[in-house]
Amino acid sequence: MRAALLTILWLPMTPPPDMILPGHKSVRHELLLEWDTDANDCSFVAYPTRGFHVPVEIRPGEPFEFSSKYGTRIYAMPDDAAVPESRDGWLDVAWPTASVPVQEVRSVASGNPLARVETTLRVDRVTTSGIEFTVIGERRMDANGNDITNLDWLLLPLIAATGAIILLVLRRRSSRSTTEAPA
Amino acid sequence: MTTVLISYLPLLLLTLAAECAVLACLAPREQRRRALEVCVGLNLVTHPLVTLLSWRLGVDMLALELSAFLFEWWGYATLLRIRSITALRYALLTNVCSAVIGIVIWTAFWS
Repeated sequence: MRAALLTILWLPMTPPPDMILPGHKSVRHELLLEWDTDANDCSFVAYPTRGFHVPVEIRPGEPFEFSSKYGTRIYAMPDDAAVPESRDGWLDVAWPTASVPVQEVRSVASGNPLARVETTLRVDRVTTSGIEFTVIGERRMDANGNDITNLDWLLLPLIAATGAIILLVLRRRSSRSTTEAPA
Repeated sequence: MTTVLISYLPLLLLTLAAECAVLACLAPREQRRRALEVCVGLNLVTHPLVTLLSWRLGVDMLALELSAFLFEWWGYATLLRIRSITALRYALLTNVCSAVIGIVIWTAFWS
């Protein structure tokens, strides 16, 4: 009985993997890919391995959407090749490929100013076995495109510190009044 | 800092207003001023920390709210030198009230 009750209480706290919970809002997370166009005789395509399977041809420095849920992979497509039109065509593809090296930010708590995340990746090397990336930066922005930096969050610990000082003063005043009372 | 400030400050002020209003009704007259001071102090500690952990690190809100409630219960009992059951009533009613307001606001503006 107790176990059943605990399970019922615990269930709403465990977030389902593919839905945005009440009290949360969605975030648009995009990637920017940079590569040396002279050194690589290929272009890059993002292709989700699950879901609707819509490929996106990546242009250098141009943001594109990806999905951790739908398992987006990045493929190095030879310059003389074409993007397969059907899902079956992708099964025969033998191009170097790699998964996206960052976890998608899909949602945050409502009220959080974060609306957009932009992660910049650089292609370091394309080998027959895969593609090597380096994460070179991440921008977090609000709905108006203003950057939210780590420094912005400093405000909250500062307010908490002010509250702690107030509580210490109140406690000191309380203990002082207690010691003065018998006299 | 303004982006976070603009998003966060109204939530803090609304919580303080709601919890202080509830506490003003609950606390006896001779203790009311001190109870409001303690309420402001406790909420200035718990509210930004809960928000920071939830917004920045994605910690579960329910667990955070429960921690904040326990801290405020302890805070009222210790700083007001009142019985634990009275402090429990203060912490419970103030937090339930601000949570209900939070749900109403979420439903009205963000859902």
